[in-house]
Amino acid sequence: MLGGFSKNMIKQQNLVGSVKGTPGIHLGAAMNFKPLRKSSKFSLEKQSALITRGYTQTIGSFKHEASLAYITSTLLAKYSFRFLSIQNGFSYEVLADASGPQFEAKYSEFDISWISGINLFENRRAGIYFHYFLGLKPVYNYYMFDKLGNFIEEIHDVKNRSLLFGIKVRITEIYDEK
Amino acid sequence: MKNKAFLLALSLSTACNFTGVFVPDPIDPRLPMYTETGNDVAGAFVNKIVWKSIATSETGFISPGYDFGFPSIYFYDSGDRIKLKLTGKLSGVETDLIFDILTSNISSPEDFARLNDSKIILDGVNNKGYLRSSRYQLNSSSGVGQIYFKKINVSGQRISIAGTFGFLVSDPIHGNLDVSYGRFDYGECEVY
Repeated sequence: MLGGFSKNMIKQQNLVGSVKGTPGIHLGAAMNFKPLRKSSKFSLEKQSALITRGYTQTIGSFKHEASLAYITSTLLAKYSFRFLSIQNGFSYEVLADASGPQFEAKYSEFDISWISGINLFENRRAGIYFHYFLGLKPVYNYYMFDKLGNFIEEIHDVKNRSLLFGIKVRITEIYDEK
Repeated sequence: MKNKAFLLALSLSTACNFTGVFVPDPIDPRLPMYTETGNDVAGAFVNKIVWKSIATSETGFISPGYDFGFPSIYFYDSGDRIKLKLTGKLSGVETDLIFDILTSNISSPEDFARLNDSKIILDGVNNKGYLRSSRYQLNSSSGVGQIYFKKINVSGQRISIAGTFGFLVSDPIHGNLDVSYGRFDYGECEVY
């Protein structure tokens, strides 16, 4: 089991005003397995989690908040040292919810992220982790037009950036006796 | 011109309720996002101040000038003009944006479909855009700019319409009124 908090940021081109990421939470489960019998330090980890993201956009006294929730499916390659392990991998994220009506009008249904992270004290029953999600796919789709209403182009904008940190608790271990 | 209208209440009949689905624009969330899904909303900047459509369930009324209390489009029975009215608020004051457009042979909803994906230049003479409110009595001031009917669907007696607009009104009393980044999306309402 894993869960914790996240610091969200976004990379964007055209949003006006001051745009800042909002804190999020996440909760999920992970399964660790070792595909190479000769290397005890290398392993793969399959994770699935619910994570929240969002940002606020401030224009003068006007404040707009966008909240998104994703269900992630993550595959990480992990290399372990004594009390520390490093991880890299990809995450496929399906948009489960978004603030406001008709969010499908502007948000992509899914996102793909590259993940890099470290785990501390993973050899104990409970460890801590830091994962950085680098969104690879723009998640906003919208039209841009000039002040007279001439359409310039369809824009694909806003990439997610998130730093997740939390606690991972080992529930059980299953060994292959072969 | 004969000023008796063949009436087309564009999505804008009471059957539509005009509750409006406001999806914030990703670039500037003070305005509704441009959509073609019949959200029954409109928005624009007027001198950088937000003008937004208002949700209404009004039944509307017909004045001698064939005016309504809700967004509407209507044809003159001569077939040579249409008038589109978008109702909204500007700084808390009810303000309508009106487009009076010279056309040819448009006297029914089916004819209106011919304007799909067409840009109409507002030259201030034949085609006009203007504001009307208690603050801006600008009926006679002719805005110059453009209205773009990007998506018009007519299906039997139902019609939906989405597009963009922008125009500049030069008024001796109020100075220049720059109506910019306008967008509207009204849809799937029964034609009277």
